[in-house]
Amino acid sequence: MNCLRFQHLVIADPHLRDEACLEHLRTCNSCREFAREMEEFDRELREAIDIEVPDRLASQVLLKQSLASRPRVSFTRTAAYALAASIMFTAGVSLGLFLPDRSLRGGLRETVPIHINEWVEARDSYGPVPVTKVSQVLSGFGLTLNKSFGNVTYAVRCVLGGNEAVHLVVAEEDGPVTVFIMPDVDSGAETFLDTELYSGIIVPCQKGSMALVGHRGAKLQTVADRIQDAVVWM
Amino acid sequence: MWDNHARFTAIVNACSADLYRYAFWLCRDRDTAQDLVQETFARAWKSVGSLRDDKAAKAWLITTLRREHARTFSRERPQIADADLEAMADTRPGYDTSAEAWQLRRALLNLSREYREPLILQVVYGYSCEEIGSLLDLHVAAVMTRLFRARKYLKSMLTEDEKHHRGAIQ
Repeated sequence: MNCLRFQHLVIADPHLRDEACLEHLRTCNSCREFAREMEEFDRELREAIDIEVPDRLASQVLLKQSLASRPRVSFTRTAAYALAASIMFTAGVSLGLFLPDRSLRGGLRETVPIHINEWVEARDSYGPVPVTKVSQVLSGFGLTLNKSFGNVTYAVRCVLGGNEAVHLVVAEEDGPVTVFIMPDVDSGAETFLDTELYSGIIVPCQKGSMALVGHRGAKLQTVADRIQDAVVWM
Repeated sequence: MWDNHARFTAIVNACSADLYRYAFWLCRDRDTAQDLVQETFARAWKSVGSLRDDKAAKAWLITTLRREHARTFSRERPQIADADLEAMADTRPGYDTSAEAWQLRRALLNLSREYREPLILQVVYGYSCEEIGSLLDLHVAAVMTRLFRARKYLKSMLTEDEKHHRGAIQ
């Protein structure tokens, strides 16, 4: 291989190192320097091309896909607000905000599955949480755990729309279910969310509410019943 | 069903950033790039069952995005102005804001698509000339020629700019 051929190849592909190129590199100092310069230029090129990606692009893709492929049903006004309400629970927005407000509902479409997706993204890093830890988190809200309600893989205190809540993830056989227990929030009637990817349910409890989100078709009501049965609201 | 959800989520999380960069350099407009990515993944959802392999998924996404771009935006030719470069402003730490970096970005924006596209596939995805040829339906020799000309053009633009600056200083 001569220098002209080598340089032509290296300009086209600065990282090309086949046998013929390596052999030429071993014997030609000027082409070694040329190859080094091209690698440096390639690094600059890589930095120039590496533009900033919109925040939470992946989450927005999942959100839009989830909502766009939602089964086509005719929504009554009440059902639409129920959908917004259930979404808001997941997004962590105060329940007191979701009354008649089209712009707010539009905003929800941008934010909710972002949180759901973050939960999905994080689920692999979760490990089993001992019952004692779950009990400890619940006790901070005046809740008593009288028996196990499943394989909990995540249990923390969190803040949803200004209200403190318990955030749990329960590993079910067909996938994880995320649960928010909100002792101080009155959700009103039971509400459902069902999209192509996710299902959600909000359940009124003795002295508060509970929201559950899982993959579409997850047996959320069963999980909710088990939790209701295992947790005593003081 | 859960497998498909998890697979789709994994594909989106793994591929969306690079796909966006590719889309941006293809159409040179941020909003359009985001629309293209969205539409591509909407189509991917319908085929998620067949996208079991990451490598195949990436190639499938690129091909689909190219088709979507050709179908929807081929008649639109965004004018490249200073505003487009300003839109490339980046808030990440370490982002190169030197004059040379901006000159390189401007040169990339002005590079014609036939040269820009294989270059982006090579730099963003690390594809070989054979793989790029397969994606763009080109012979390997044609890919190498385009890559060669693309880099030569970009280098010459930087050199010209450097001369211009030196001239201005002198």
